[in-house]
Amino acid sequence: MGAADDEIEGLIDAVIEGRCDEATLRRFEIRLRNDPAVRRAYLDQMRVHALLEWQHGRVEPPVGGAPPGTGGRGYWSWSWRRHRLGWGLAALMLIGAGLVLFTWTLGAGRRERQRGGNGIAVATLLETRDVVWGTATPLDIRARLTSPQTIRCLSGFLRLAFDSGALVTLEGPADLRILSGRRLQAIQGRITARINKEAKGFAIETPNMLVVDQGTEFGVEVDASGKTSVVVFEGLVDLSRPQSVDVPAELKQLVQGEALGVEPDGKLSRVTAVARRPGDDGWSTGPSSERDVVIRSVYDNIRGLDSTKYYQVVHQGLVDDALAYVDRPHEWNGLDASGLPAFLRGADYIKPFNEDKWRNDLEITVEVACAASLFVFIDNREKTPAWLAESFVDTGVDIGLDEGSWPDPSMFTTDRGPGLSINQVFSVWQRAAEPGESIRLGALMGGRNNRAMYGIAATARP
Amino acid sequence: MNSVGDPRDATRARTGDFVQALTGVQSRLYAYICSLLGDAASARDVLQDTNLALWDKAHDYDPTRPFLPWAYRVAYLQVLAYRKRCTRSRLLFDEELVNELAEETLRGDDDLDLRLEALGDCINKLTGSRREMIDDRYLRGESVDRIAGRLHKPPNVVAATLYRIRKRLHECIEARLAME
Repeated sequence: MGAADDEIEGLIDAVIEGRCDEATLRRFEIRLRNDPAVRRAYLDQMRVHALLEWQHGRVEPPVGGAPPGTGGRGYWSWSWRRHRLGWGLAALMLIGAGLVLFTWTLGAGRRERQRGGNGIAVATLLETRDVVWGTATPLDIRARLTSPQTIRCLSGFLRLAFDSGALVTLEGPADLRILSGRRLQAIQGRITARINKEAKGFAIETPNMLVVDQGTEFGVEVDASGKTSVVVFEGLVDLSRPQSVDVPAELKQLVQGEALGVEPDGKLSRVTAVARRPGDDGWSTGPSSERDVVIRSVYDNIRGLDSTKYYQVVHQGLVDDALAYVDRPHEWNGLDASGLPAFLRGADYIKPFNEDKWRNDLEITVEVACAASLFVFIDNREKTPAWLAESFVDTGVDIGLDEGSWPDPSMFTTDRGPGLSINQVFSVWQRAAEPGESIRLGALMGGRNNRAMYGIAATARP
Repeated sequence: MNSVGDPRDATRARTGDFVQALTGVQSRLYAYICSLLGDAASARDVLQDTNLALWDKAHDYDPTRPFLPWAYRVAYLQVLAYRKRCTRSRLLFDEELVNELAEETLRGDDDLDLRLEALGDCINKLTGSRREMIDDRYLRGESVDRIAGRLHKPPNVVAATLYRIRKRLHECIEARLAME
């Protein structure tokens, strides 16, 4: 590349990035005016730059923007400086949203573009469940969703398929804006996103955080106070602050088994536990308030507010092949083909951190919601801890741990179904717990010699 | 039920058409304004001004005539108005050059929606550091200086890399459009 080309590149860069001084700009004007090739190169670069900004949702469409009072700022607040336009178009978009519905052929993965309609169609509404809409015009199943588009619901559950390859579920109350096929803005609501390889880079921005997926599955919750919680179920995500004048855009990465809360004032907070049901996209971060849960909450004494690790509470989830730990691919299984013992099947259980097996100062507190039997599964290679022997009894029943590949790759792989590829045997200990009781569990005995963290489960007593 | 020919229905339908037309050309207007101003930050403001101006002229909207040329004209006038307003506070192209760029942009105007769709596929073909840099710059909105600081590289090296990635994306988009 010649020096002349280098100079043109530098000039175009300076203009696009806003780094020009007056002399540079005037020099560039002369080149633009006199050289058609330079003009073409500039227009090509500027068009791709504009398309990149548009596609990544960095230019908020007229219907979008933070509603007054939500403290929106920086690049997403500009469109609300004129409420007349913002609210006028927002209201009319609700009329327009129902005007053009498109069919979606999932099998063919056909991409239909909405020509001359409300922006570009980027997603399809696949499913609704018990939705109370917060807009005048409800959306129909299989409706094509466009960029820009606002989705508001007071309660219920929606599932959206993005053409870019992201499958997104939304739990109300929710206020969500589709900024582009790869970017959402969450004002409120609980979102779970499962991302295929092609959609890597899918982003969700909240009032105080930008979450960028780097593969697989994560959740984002914005509550009514503006607090954001981010949970990674599989893979990893990048977190950064939204671009603004006074807050540095620090970058943090969360991996599977990690979560983080960001308060409205920007302070970080720990997400101690995440509750989920098998086969359900729903999840929650606070103590469970549902009527049929047995384990209401879990917390420990060893992690500060800066910890990103969370316990996963799986309601009614203990079955053969259920994942045993947050941070390992190992699975609980019955020792033979008959599977897990009947009294454990369908129990609420907790996925702890296998790494905690080495902590001799560990205390885990489990709160039960109802009269319950609390179970602890302890590796038969370990010594029986005093706290276990004092308040639990050994049921005499054993279950197995089918170890997965860890560290990856390793000699172990999990098998499907009970009684297969069992690597370790665990004894099941039991004690009774009263409604609302919090029971403290301790550490294992052997320190660095310990082999596996214990498991925790609970069932309701009649 | 409203009676056939209810003027409120006609007004509602016309307003709906207008909103559809206006929201459907946003990406094109933004790209157009960007090219004339050479300044993305200013382009966002002028897009807003243009939307306001179009909104105020909604009663002049004739759905039987093409919307885009009219919207471009309004955008062009807003660019000139913005230039006059900000001539002391921002560095912008002179009026004569804005006029020339506007003409050239209109000559090269094509289906930007197709380009947007092609761009998504082309971005997915970027790998490694190229993809990371596009994500840093456009997804996370980091400035060139911030990226350069994090990568311990001079800003002009990062800017040149972004230039080459955009050039590659442009070529990829052109190739995709040529195939269709």
